[in-house]
Amino acid sequence: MSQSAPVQKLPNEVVHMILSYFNPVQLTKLELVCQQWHEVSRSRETLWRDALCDTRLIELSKQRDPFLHALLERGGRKLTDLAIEIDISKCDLNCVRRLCKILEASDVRNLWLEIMPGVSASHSQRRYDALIDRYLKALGELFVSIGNCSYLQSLHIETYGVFGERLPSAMMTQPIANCKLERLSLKCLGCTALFENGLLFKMLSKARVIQLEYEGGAISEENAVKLLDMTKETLEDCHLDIIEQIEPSKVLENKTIVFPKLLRLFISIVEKRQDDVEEGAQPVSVANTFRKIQLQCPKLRLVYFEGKIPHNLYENLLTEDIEAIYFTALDPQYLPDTSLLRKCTTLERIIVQNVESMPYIFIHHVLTMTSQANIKEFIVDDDERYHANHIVQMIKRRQEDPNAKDIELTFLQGKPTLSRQSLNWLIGNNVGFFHAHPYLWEKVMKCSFEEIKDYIDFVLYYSRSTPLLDRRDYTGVPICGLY
Amino acid sequence: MVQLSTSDNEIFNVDRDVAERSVLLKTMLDDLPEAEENPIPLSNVSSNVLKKVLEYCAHHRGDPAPPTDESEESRKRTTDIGDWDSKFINVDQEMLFEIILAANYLDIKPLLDVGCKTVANMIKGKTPEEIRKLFNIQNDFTQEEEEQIKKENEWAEDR
Repeated sequence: MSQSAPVQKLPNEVVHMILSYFNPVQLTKLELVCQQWHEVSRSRETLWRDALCDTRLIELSKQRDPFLHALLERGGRKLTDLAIEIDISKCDLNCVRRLCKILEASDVRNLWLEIMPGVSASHSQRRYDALIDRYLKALGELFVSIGNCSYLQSLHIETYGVFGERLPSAMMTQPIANCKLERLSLKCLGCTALFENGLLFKMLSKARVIQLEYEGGAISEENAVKLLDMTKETLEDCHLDIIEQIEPSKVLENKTIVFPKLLRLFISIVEKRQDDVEEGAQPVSVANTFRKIQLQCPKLRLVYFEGKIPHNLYENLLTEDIEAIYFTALDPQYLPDTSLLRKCTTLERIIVQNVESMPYIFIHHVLTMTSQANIKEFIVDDDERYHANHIVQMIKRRQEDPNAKDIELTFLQGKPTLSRQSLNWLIGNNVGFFHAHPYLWEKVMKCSFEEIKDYIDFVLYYSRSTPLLDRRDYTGVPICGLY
Repeated sequence: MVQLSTSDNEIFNVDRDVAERSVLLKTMLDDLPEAEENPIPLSNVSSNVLKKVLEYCAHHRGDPAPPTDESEESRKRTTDIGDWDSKFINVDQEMLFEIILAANYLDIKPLLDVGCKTVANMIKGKTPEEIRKLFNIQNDFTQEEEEQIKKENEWAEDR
């Protein structure tokens, strides 16, 4: 055949790469181009899987849902990753039920679900009530289906806006048996219904959760403890990002929870934003919750603190096995007693972010108290104003102490304004350091990057935050990481 | 320095770090030390295409190595192309597909991505007929086959 156009020389795997940029609906057009494209479009399972990944989020709607059709028609049991956005005001329960059917028939492993009631202030009371009712029913049905997804490993649920309402009681009797969830991520789950009705806990009863993420929602003490209790045996990675609770909840007994496998813990307790606080309501500190709870994590290596961390948590968590600690935006009155750091002799990494919110005597203490640890990296981030020179002075002092162990690398990130003197000291002592971008060296540090580049161990290039310069202008510098 | 010989028997002298942008060449150079002494034959690549490919490799010689595992998953699913790359890939169709083939053969993932994205951008929003015209593709479906596919895809039609 002599008609072979250049494009037709491409092997199937390359055609596959090209088609992978298109979603299922677009593919129905592209497969009409020629036999080869048709064959690739139909034969490659991953094409469907990837395309689905790519179209996140698929929006569920009342009129026509070509994507859902695509899933049914083509995805079948190949469907493994799915991201769906549901706005209840735009779709009815039938759409949700269709989705439930797809979920249950699929081999979905990773599910990302965003569900919103779609209510607004302009809605009449009747419309509001109807939407909330539909929302709760939809949520209930979805949960039952999710519970029946026997291959589901990773679940992300994001929801907004409805607080306190209860799910229809019929949901309670549905069996949720098969879920083998490994990663659970709950975002802004102000919808306490899931907890109150025990639906979530029911789903977790057979799961072996390795990774838990809870972000940006109020959670009652009781539910927080229960969530941790149910996952403690298998949990390796835990991210708790908690906003202070409005309603006072039951005061718990002193309790110890042991996490035998937990490696990484991120814990952030922050105040509710003022505009979110309803009039007359008194914020109650969640920090009180953890004041009564002792977390024991013998395997813990990395810990991240933010906000109002109660003191007993520091005592529990800062042990000699800790390898990395992050401090960020800590409320001064909730700073740890730095003498606790003396225990952390295997510490390799300290990261202090948002320095401005902390007194720098704190950093001084951190550096002194960890003087016996072999710190490989000491990172100070977001230091915009005046701390950098002081920090250099502190490191200097520590390095001069014959009993203290050296810090291998010091990184100043953000936009530190260093004096020439401090800079010279850093260079002269071969303290490795990097900076957000070479551009900032010139603009902020007032010295040419050329002058100092030979002394820099490596540069971390922030492509998104500083698109001003082409990275290739600095080919002489090894580039170690991309952010 | 590494020597590469093309399908039309031209010899290129290339810095090793430039040649190693190609995973194929990197593996060869790592495994066969004698490859450094003799020209490596690239029987699938002609000199004008190799010249282009090496231009790309030289420009990107200092780039961090793309992650070897899970690169497929982390691959960004946008069809955006950087400034330099889009100027570079602004070539006639025949050259474009030759570059893609060479990148595929030499295993230069970022270049292959740039090529595939370019093709994806070219066909975006076009009807099958327009795409065939664009690439000079013969419609190799029978009438019946075409009807059959359209019927199967009715679910995706806008109504």
